[in-house]
Amino acid sequence: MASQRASAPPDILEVTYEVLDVQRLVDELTEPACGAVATFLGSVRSPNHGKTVDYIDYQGYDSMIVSEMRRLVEELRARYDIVRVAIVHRLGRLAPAELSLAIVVSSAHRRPALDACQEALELVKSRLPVWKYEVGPDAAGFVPGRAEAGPTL
Amino acid sequence: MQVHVMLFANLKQRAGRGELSLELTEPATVRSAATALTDRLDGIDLKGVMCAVNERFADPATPLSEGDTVAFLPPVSGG
Repeated sequence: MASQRASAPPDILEVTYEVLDVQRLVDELTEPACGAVATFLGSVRSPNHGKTVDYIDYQGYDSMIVSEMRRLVEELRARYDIVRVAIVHRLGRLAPAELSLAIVVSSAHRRPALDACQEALELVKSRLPVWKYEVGPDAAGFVPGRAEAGPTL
Repeated sequence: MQVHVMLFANLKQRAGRGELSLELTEPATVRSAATALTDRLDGIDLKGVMCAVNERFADPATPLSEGDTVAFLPPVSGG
């Protein structure tokens, strides 16, 4: 298993400022040994908490996002029997209905793929250094965030 | 010694920039960098902010070395 993993194509862990190409990720992760490819796509929501959203400026610590993605995929591998993982977070200005996040997990069977995909989403939302600045017709501001990833000052 | 500091979101907005260098007296920790930053940036509020050293979440007590990158990370809202 370890030798197979060593020769397997790598995970896809990226920050992008372009439109997310979901099909590329699905094509890359769909392999003969994988009978299951689970996908989660996150998009910009409007209205959000009852308020119209014109756009969200996504800001991030790009290099740490990728470092943290690597660590969370290691954790997923330790817990689930999965083959490959793709996590791509888009940053920059996004309008409602544009995709901000794609997570794709492949495995031999459906259960580990679905479970690891859901777990990856929770880890992405709690751990990646990303911030949303939400702008609407009447108000603009940073979306309240989560401080669970580490101790605070 | 000198460390590289990175600020994000409302901290970056408040500081008017996302990066700066700080000169710290040794031995230095993340917390002493935070104190120096508050002095340098006119009382910028770091309460509730997470920290990272060289791209890894870190405790405020983490010791710093010359050339480290210390990031101050407000609560995150990715996805």
